[in-house]
Amino acid sequence: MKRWLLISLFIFFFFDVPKEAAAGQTLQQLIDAAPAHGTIRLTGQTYIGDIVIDKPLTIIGTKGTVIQGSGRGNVISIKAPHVTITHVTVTNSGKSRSTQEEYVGIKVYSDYNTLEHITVKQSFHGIYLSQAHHNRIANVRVIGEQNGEIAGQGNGLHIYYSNFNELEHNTIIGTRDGIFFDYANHNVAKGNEVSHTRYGLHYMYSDDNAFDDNTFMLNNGGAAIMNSNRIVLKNNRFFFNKGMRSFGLLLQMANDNRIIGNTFYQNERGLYIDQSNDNFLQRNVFLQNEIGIELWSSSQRQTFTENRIWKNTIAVARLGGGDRNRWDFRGVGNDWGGEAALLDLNQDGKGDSPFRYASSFHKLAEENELAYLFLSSPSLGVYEAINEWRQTDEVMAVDHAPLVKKTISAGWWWGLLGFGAIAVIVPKRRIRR
Amino acid sequence: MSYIWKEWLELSRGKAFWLFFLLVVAASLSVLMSAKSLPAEHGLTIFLQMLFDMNAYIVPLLCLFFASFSVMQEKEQRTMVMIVVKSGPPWMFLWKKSAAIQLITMTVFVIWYFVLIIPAKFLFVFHLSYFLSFLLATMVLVFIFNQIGIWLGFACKTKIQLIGANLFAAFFFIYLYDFALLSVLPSVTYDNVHVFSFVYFLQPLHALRFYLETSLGMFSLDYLSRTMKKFFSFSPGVLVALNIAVWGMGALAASMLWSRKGEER
Repeated sequence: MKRWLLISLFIFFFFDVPKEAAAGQTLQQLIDAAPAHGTIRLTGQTYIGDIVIDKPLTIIGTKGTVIQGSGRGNVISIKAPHVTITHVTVTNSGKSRSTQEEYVGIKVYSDYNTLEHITVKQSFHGIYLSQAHHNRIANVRVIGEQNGEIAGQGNGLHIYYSNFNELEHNTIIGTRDGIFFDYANHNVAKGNEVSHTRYGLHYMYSDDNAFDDNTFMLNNGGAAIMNSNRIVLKNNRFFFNKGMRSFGLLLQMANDNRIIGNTFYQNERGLYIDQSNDNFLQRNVFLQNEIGIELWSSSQRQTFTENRIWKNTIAVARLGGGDRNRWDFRGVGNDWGGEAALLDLNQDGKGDSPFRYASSFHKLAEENELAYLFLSSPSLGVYEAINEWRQTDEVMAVDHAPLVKKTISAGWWWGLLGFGAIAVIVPKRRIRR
Repeated sequence: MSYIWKEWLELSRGKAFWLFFLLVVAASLSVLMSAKSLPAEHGLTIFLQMLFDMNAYIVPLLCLFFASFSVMQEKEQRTMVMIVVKSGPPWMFLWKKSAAIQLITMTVFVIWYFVLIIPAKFLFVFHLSYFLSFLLATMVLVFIFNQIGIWLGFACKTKIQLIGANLFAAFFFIYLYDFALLSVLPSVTYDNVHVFSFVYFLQPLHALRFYLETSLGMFSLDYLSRTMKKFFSFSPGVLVALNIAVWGMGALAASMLWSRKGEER
């Protein structure tokens, strides 16, 4: 009896079959067995992945529900429309770069699916839409490798030849690109937060998309719009995208985009425009960036109106040639803050004379890219002041109707207070004498 | 130990240091207030970086003035002569004085930042390694400028001279150094960019900012051009150590030479 007990214990400890395996097999079996449009409720345990869903189905997880891939393929493949997956964690897709396919946590090949409250970890791409339309991806959290080699990382959400999708309130950290649109049109990205990526959002050959209320922080670049047209960007926040080549928003070969109400704060470059034409920028805030707006001469006919361009080390750097952009629209220019000392005698909220923003930084930058190293140095201000005094700076932007704030600025109040204090103290001292 | 106690008594009874330090406190709090609306996940990174950027202008001035005036006071009140006669050669006095000043200023700063990090811990997701990197960067800043201040204290004969020297030192590191680099920028090429990088990062504010921003994961070194890659090829840790050696230990060595000169006279 004792011998049998010992043998049983030995088998139990050394040949124990993992619970996950049993549960994983059950999950694919459950999917296969479930009727179309049925619902599967998962418990808080680990299921073996690399599952394929080929019928309309709802899968609902709970706290602790993990679907773990084999590390050799896609963890979940959705091949039927009208699939809903919620409240699960998906891990361990294949990461090999020598295979024909780039593997993913969840790969979607079909339309009208919903993926919500999902965490994807240890996967090459997070979620991949392949020729999949009208899907909704919301409250998904994708966590990438962060400090790994950039080429070895996939994208948080990869949208490939897919249209009319909604991507809302997702959080993406440490992937190659946060959301990558490749030949994808008419998609909406709203309320997403992307950090520690190469580009938070990246559009390639993708037109007529919209992105609103997203936050891009601590990326190499906040959002890059390349070879894509007619995109509407509203109320996004581009913060602290630093690094020698970093930017809040890049427009490269991107035309007819509307950029409205966004905030660019403390980026290396707030907005970087190269080989792009006819973009319209309204009511954006460019605050405390090293360069507010960097414009290359290959770009023409941008319109800037009602923007607040404040306290940037260099407000506008125009490189490589003349200015062929408009800094006012229908008689409304931009608010240049302290850069512009303007009179508004008729109190109409606009300067009485045009504002010419001049700088000499572009000469340094054109001569040597190392000039960007000095953007955070106070000595650059001295360099600019000396060039202004020598009149060797150049006009970067001409605003024919600059906006003037009607209220007295805080600086004036402090000045008045200081003056008042001196006025009170000095006569008292004289009286004492 | 008696040196440290003496230094502490002088510092705690004097108003100048505390007034200046109050500026650090107020500025730190204003940075915290402006950072409090940031997302919790990244708030600490940005808060620490902003705090360091502020420190980069205030701490050098505070340390230069405090350390140099501490030495000048010993000279003016003739306590230095008494201590030197009593306890050995001037370099011994210098050594003990440096240790006391460094220890006290660093302790005051460390205590303040530990106090400041308490509310920050409630506002943001806390990463101990980030905080320690910030502390290290600030302490190196304190060390270097204290040491330069001590040297200036030894080198100057009058208070007016000392004020001028301190202002020049601050001006040199904040403006002149970069201005000189800007003037040679057109002649920098791929071949000599390593030398330029070395000289650029010999400015403690550049090296420490680079160290901190890379430690916090804020400064991206991806997708750089060949020239830029070569420029950033030095390890941030090595650059910080280099600055400690050149400016901190250099100033200490200069002070020792100065004190020996005084001994010979």
